[in-house]
Amino acid sequence: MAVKDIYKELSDEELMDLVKKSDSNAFSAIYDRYAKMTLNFFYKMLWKDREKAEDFVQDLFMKIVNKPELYNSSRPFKTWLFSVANNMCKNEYRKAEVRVNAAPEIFASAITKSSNTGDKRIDKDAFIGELDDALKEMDQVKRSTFIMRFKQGLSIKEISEVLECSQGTVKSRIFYTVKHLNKKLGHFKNIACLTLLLNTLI
Amino acid sequence: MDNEFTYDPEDLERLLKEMSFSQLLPEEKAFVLQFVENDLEYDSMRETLESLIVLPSLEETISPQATTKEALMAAFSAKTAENQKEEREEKTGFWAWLWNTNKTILYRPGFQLASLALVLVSVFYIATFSPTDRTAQVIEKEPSLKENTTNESKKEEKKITIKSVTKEEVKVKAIELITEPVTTVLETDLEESTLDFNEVPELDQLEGILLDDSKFKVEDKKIELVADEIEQIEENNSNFKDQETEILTEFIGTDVILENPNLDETTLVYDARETTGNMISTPLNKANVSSAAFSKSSNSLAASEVSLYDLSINVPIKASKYSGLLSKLYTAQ
Repeated sequence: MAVKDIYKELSDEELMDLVKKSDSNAFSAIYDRYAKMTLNFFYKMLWKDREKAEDFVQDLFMKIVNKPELYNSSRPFKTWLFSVANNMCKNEYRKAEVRVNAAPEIFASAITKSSNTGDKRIDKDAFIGELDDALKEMDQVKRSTFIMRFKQGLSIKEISEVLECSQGTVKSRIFYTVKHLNKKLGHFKNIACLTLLLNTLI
Repeated sequence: MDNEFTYDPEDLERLLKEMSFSQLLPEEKAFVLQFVENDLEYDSMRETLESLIVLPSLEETISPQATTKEALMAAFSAKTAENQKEEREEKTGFWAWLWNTNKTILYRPGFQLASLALVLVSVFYIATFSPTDRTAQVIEKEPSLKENTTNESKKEEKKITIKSVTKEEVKVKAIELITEPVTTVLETDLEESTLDFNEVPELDQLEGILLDDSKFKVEDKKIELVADEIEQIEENNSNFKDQETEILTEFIGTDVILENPNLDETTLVYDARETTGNMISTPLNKANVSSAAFSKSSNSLAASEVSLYDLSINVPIKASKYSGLLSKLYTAQ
């Protein structure tokens, strides 16, 4: 079995123990496991700004490079990683708030630009575009809960650990988010069926 | 078996995923309708949720650039090299030598040096603060005559010197000092005194000698009177705050008497023995003594918003005034 395959079989926590011992293969394995997931998380959380998302991923993993001891092995690595990522987003929102207050018209145009990039000619893209708009209207906690649940596929338990709240709170937030989105996206009744149909045809 | 419902809003997601409104039990319908308006909204939410569940397959996903990983791996290698260098230094550096973990604790240089330092400090402490070698300092008054060509009579000059003596000598000197009549101080023309203020010892050095109240005939009650008087001054003399004085210190005695021109009772008596006694000649102005104020015109002191402690530390008084007032005090007694 190749060395890289051995690392692939190790758990996140085992890999992090090796990272703490300066094992570059372990770090590489951890990166491969979570780089894409965290990139997409940042991408969706940070107004679909790819460049910013790439920077954030790099910053996130630099934290592991510089201070791997920050991670406590008693906690699941995945939830710890998303906690850090979520906190980075929170900080970015705070900064953005300052920027909005400083120059609201510039920021508004940037948001509009990013939200209009979606092609709305077909239902699927229109649905995603309107979903993005609806998400932007939500507060940061609900948005991150939603993205972790429906876009990153984290379990309720994992989300509750990331956000440091009860599972009941997470479920409740998800319910009210779905209710809110239902009002905003209610006219896309057939989107699920359409997707299944498209997938079948392809 | 009890058919008890323990649903919370958090369980709605499960119900939405699994059952349409028509499939719900009557109890479940009742529960669900607490959170949604009607069956239509429930089914609509159900469809929306289904859409959201398939969302990951709808949305485009992005992948990180290869350069990001390259940069991170380079940073990781650099950090590893740095850590290894630090570890090497830790193993071979000064601290490694000082606390060599390969040796037992008694043979570690750090322990040995610390022990040596402890011994030296102990020896120094014992040598410095041993009761038999303790250095005591007292005031010795050495009367001498000094010719004054401008005045007719010669005046006695009192000089204060500091001298190291043994404990026994301290006791003898203390008795001499204590039994010396206070009036000798009063008879001295303090304005003409050539006292060397730099040689005035701090009062804490005289502890045990000058603090014997019984020999000085200063009633303890007077201290209390001072406090009372100060309270009155605080009430009456707020306008004195802005005044300054040019009075310079010429003599510091064991008692300071402060005249308050604004009160019928003209004298305040403060027992300076409680002070450091180190009130040497410093031009006094409001900047120096913010809590006291002085009447220039009457050449006397009025305290305003001062505490006993403030007075004791900061108030010098002209020798002639001191002499006169002290005389008045002791005459009254």
